[in-house]
Amino acid sequence: MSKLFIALALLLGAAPTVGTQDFKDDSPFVPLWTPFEGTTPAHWRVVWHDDPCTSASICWSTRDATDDTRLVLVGPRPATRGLAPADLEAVNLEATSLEGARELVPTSWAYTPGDDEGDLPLGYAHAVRLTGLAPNSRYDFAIVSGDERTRTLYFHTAPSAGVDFEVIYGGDSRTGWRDRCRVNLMIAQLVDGDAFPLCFVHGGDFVESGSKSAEWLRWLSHHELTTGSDGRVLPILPARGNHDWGPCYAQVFDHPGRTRDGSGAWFRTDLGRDVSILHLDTNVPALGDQFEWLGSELPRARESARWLLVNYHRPMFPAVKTPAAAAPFWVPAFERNDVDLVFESDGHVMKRTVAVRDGAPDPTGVTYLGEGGLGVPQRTPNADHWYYDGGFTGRGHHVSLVRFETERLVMRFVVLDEAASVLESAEPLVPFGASWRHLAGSDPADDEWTGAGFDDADWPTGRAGFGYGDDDDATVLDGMQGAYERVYLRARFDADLDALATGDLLLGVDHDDGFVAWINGVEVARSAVASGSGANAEGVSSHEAGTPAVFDLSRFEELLRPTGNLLAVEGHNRGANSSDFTLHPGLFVGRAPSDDPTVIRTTEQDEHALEVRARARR
Amino acid sequence: MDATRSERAAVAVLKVGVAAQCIGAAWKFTLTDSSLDSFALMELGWSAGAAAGVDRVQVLLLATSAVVALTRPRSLLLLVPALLFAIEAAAHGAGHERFSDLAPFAAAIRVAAPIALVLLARPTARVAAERTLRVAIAVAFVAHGLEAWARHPAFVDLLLAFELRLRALGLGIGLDERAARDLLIVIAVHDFVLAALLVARRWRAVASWMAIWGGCAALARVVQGGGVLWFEAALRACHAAAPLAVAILFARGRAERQTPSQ
Repeated sequence: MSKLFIALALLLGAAPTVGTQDFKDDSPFVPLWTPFEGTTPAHWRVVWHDDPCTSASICWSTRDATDDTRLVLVGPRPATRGLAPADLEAVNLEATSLEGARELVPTSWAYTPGDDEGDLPLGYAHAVRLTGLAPNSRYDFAIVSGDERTRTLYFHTAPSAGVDFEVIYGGDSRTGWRDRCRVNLMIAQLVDGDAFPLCFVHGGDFVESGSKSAEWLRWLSHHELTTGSDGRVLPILPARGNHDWGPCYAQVFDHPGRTRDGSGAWFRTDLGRDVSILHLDTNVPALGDQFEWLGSELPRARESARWLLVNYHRPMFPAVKTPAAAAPFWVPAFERNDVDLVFESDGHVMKRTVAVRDGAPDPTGVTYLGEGGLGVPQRTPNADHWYYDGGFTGRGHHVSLVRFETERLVMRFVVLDEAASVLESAEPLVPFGASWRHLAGSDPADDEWTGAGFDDADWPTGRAGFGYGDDDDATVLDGMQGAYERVYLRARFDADLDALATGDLLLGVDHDDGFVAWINGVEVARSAVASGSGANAEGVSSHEAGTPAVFDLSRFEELLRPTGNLLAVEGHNRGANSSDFTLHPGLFVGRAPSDDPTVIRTTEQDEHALEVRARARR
Repeated sequence: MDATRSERAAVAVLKVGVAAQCIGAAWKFTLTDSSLDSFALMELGWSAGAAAGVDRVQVLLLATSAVVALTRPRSLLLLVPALLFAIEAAAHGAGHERFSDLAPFAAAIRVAAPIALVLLARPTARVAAERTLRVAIAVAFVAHGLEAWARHPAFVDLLLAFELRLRALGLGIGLDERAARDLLIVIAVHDFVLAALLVARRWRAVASWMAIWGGCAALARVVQGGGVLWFEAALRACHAAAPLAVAILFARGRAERQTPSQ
């Protein structure tokens, strides 16, 4: 039995053959954050708890203990939202000197080391809890530690009333350090952009193992990347996820909710008079004290807020997992109080339900948005759930932008462009699922078959993808397994040459195992086939299907004509007895993915609006 | 009950329990990613498609195992579900959540039940079958006892859900979170004592009570989450079936002592 376990472990360890993601390599981003060493102040963050109009915690870390660290703060200044770039630059320049600043001494504590991290802390937290701040104002600050000082940073307090602002929401940073860094850079772009988000609501699962302080310290380094180019820091509103157990969560976020007494990290945030968010903790009992608090707080918040939201980790209407055990109790409470929007994480997909009430779609119901894409590897959502019929599901690293207006709440996903997702926003020349002439079970007589002039009239037509064994093929090649290893596809298409002038020619192929592709008789791409083609192909290696690989064919655009082009693709199975085969190609005009992971491109998906109903209750 | 009848009865109980847990697990993996799937995706960096493929294979194997358990309980094929549950437990144990470390031990009955079923079908291995079950049940009870001692939030919620359901019927007993947490300490001690007694003594009453307790704990998932979570109860069917089988086997032992030797 032990040998079987070892064999299985080896098999599991042979991950490279089944398509590993290089997701724990954050080395390209290291130069972008403050080195965590000595008493150098690093890991700055502004944390909001219940009253972000007049209070905030400014927190930071040092590697070594020190009592010679302090916050230097200037403010309030008028909010700089909406300023023209030149005016903003002038304000920032003036702020750099921090003239007239007051110095504030923090409260400090060690990050508790995990069980296998030894006895000595790996870092120290420092925090200044600011109160009596002016609403809708800017505060500039820097952190000084010995002779070292951070750059000048700033944040805005929440407005005391009114709407017309946006928040960023996301969950599940967890594993996936590379993508976590990229998403954080995406957040920084949003901070710099026109949207002017007010804060960052996090749905939990910041790290993989919450008891390990080293993971939190890494997360904090990554979090520096969310800082805007001019030093703007987006305040964060945290919820605790199931991986965020242990003492470090409270130490990182300056003890949100009731974490000081260990009873749970739930609390209410009022973004001014008109927007309330209740943050719940799905890491502690859901049906005890927290449920009692929810029962009393929801009606109070509903009474006063124009928009009422709830934020927690484990989903009630999941796209991947089973519903949280609290669902039969929490969901009716949300519905009784006409919660407008619920943020949920944990699933590692994108999702927006239809409005739900009493277990059915209902325009007066509650909408659930999620479900975690701040870096964690993405799963495939189950779109068959009834609550997604009319809603939205997808996958990709993302945040949600939620804009509050007087009469409407508008949400949309901002998705990181990745190799596969670039195709979702691209214009198809040969779309996925297109009809192809195909030859299976024999080989073409010569290479003429790759050209536009070849007569393929006696090749049958079938819809892509082609294959067997995976339950993912539109055209199932029933006789392929055990009989032959190659399939040949041809698709004719026209090309808008003007569109190509502003976009890139992209080939997307979901393949298992290898393929070679031609446009108008010229080879343009191959994967998992080392050399040759057809019966003379050599070096066919394993490749798992599931996510289309993207190939930038920009240098072959000159092959195209306005009409009468031909895309030819031959697929190779590694062995005739292989358990599966997949060949699903498409050709598009879009934006090619960048090789530089610090270059961030995004697309927006699923803009959706909710109408205000708070006034109906007044 | 004579020896043969008791063993047949124990086999019958375990057959149903093992089949139910296989069906429950298979259904669950059609709805949500298994721990093994998550481990492959999150820890090993497999693609989502490849990781999902693991669950498709598991569902097929578990569904087949349910049929085998009901029709061929002697078959060594039942070692397959034992292995699957063991791997799933190990993957859950690597999950980096607060109680992940205890998960493999809490799953001991699910792993042992198919093995015990195979052993029970073999005359020379019947004692081994009984011991396998007794040790696994004790390990699971100790693991759950430790979770209760630590006031696992899910356990607190199981108790409070029961209270809320009773309250909806006008029958609430006034259990709040503090009382539920205190009650869990009592439950923890209860679990530890039962585990020790089961290993140390062949007392039918202990095994029988553990069967009732295991069944109630399995059904508590349905009380809390509604009928849609039936598979969570099915997955835990052997928490009742295994102690019941042991109780039946204890009766065999007593019968052997009472039967005059020839």
